[in-house]
Amino acid sequence: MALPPKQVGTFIPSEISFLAENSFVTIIPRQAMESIALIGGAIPSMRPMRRIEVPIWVAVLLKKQSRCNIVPPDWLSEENLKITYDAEAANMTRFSANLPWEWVEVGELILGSAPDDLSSPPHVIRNLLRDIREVRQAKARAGLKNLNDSYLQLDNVGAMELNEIRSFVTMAMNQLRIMQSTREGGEQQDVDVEPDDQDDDDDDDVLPRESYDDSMRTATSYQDSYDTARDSSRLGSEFTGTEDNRASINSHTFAEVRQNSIQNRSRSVLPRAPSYTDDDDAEDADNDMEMDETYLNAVNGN
Amino acid sequence: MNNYYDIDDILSDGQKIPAVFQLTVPGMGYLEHGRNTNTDIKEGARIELPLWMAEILAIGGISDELPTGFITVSTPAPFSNKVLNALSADPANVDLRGQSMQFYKFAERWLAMTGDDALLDTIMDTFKARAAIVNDHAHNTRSALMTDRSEFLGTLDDTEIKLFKAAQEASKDLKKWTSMKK
Repeated sequence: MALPPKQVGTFIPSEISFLAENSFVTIIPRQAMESIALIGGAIPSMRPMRRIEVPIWVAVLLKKQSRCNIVPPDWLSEENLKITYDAEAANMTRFSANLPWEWVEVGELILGSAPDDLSSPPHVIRNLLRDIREVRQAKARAGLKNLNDSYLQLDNVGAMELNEIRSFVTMAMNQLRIMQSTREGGEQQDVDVEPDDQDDDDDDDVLPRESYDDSMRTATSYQDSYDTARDSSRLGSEFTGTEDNRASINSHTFAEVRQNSIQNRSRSVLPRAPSYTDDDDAEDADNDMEMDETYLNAVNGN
Repeated sequence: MNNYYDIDDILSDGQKIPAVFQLTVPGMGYLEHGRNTNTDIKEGARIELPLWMAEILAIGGISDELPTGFITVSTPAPFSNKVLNALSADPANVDLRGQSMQFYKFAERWLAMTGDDALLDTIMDTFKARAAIVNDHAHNTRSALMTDRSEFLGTLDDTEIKLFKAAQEASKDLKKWTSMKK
């Protein structure tokens, strides 16, 4: 609750980068080390010159101590980045699938910690990454012109790129959604109107329930939504997954789709804006109830 | 829809709506004349009422003798045809802030009362068109402030200002992170 308002609805870049440090990278150890058992998984034992995969944070740490060399991922080589850049520039309506979900962060991390392990001079790689980012930014910008009240499809967009537009997009879409909900007639059911919104507010609540809930929910679901988004991003292509997979971040074009599964989609794509309350699937409702109880207990001093 | 704790909702509640009284209200003349008098509000008097009051008076009190309710409301100035025509011609060139500081919030409330779909379409289109421009400016602050188009930023209503801030913060944070030594 003490988070600054902007961090309730979105990540800051350093948080995104922190999460990306959990992805794996190949290293070539320079010295032997025994396996370390950690809660998140064991780090395998190391023998010199025997390649192993470790989380990036371990790799960076070992690299700093000159205990290993990092093998840059394939996509980070000069040739592949050039190919990616050409692919990006050739098609201005979709993002190319050549880059992983956390490409901005991993690129920065490796450039920052192991510039000497890259196959090409670091400034070449850096410039290529910057060029790619600019092309992709232009696409995201063009896509924002197609905002609507329910759905924005952005396939293969990176975590950092998504985060950059998230707060703007959620706010704008929320505003459109609220305005759309005043529309009369049949279209109303498509839109998430919650007439009992205010009734949820217990009169003796000290704080607005809504803001309490949302901050809690956002905090607990960060890792979840991150993982979901990442998993589906790995699936790689649009409309190949299940309904749920399609629902998340994994699209390439800005396109409007049927409105009936909108709620799933927009929920998994974008953590909700602070005032966005919709709880019609059971899971969410459960969470709400739990949180309410905890909260009430806390308020009552139990 | 209306959030008790939201300052913007409270402000949009206070937006004025032109209303015509359908009956004489004894002793309330000071509302009309703005000074301490003992006159009555006459039937047919035109008074601008805040939205929250107009909403209640227009809907409440409908009965057989008074099929119109206590008052009838007419379209507020920010949603007049003149403004709407200007908006459909070029959304970026209208001073929304001059129309109403809470243009979109006010629009929400007004639309919820009247359900005017044509008006809704115009306002949604306006919002989308302007949001895109707001985003451009937010990611490019320096040049935006130096060109003539910085005038545009002076015409944003409160909702758009929030959007601008959100986009600008995101862009600023990212720049900060990128230039940070890792």
